[in-house]
Amino acid sequence: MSDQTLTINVKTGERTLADLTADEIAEREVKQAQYETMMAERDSRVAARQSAIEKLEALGLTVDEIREAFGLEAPQ
Amino acid sequence: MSRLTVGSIEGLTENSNVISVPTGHTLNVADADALQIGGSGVVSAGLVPLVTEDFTSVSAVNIDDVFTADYRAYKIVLRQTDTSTNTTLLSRLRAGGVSKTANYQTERFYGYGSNVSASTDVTGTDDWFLGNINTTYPDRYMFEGTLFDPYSTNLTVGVGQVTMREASVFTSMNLGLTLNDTSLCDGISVFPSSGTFSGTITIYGMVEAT
Repeated sequence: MSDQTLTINVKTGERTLADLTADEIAEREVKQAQYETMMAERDSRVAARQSAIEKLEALGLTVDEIREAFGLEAPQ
Repeated sequence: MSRLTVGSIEGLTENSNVISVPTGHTLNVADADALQIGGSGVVSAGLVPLVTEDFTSVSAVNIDDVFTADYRAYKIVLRQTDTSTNTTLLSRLRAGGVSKTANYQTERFYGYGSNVSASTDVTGTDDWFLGNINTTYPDRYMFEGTLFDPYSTNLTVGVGQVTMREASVFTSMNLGLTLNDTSLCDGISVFPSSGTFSGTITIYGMVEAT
């Protein structure tokens, strides 16, 4: 069975299930690609932040100093 | 035909002053002003439940004819219980059974563990972004929001809060939502970008204080 949309009409109480149209399927592929990009960008930002914390700690800064100077919350 | 005689309730002994509505029947009070509490307090403000829908493994939930001229503000509560794919959850308003696909804005304040960020329109301006859902923790997602003026030629504005879990990280979002459209939107659609989802959605109308 293909993916279906559920539509409820509150006024009439009618409930209908309908298959996705070709346009809807194509749009979902674009949206899913957006999701993959968004997740990759988030993971990249988190990795960069963690790398910065580790480099600052290697320079001798304490967790409190890193937090106060750069706003970075180092894992404790 | 059954009859409910209100006058017969008054004066009955304790524990018998109860109006019972048997299963399968409905007590319908068409005029909210007709409901009174304690003989003096009129129910003139509050949340009126308009629809609650449990849905299972669908690619979108469209709720039509729910926004009307009766209310200006609506509260929406969405609890997800399952999803088939790691993806985003999106939303659009609808008019006459057709989803609006332009002029949305979503401002997101995003807490991902100890990481905090803000962004605008991360999924474009053709929908509202309501967060991410995933198969590892499919039941950790909930949205609660308020929409003002969807059934109006004015700008629709809303605020929302989301809690979810992504991978092993507990996350939350605060959302600012607008739709710059002069249509009278009478419905809303919520849908994952991919796959299907399951859950419960409830929409309330907010009665304004008089």
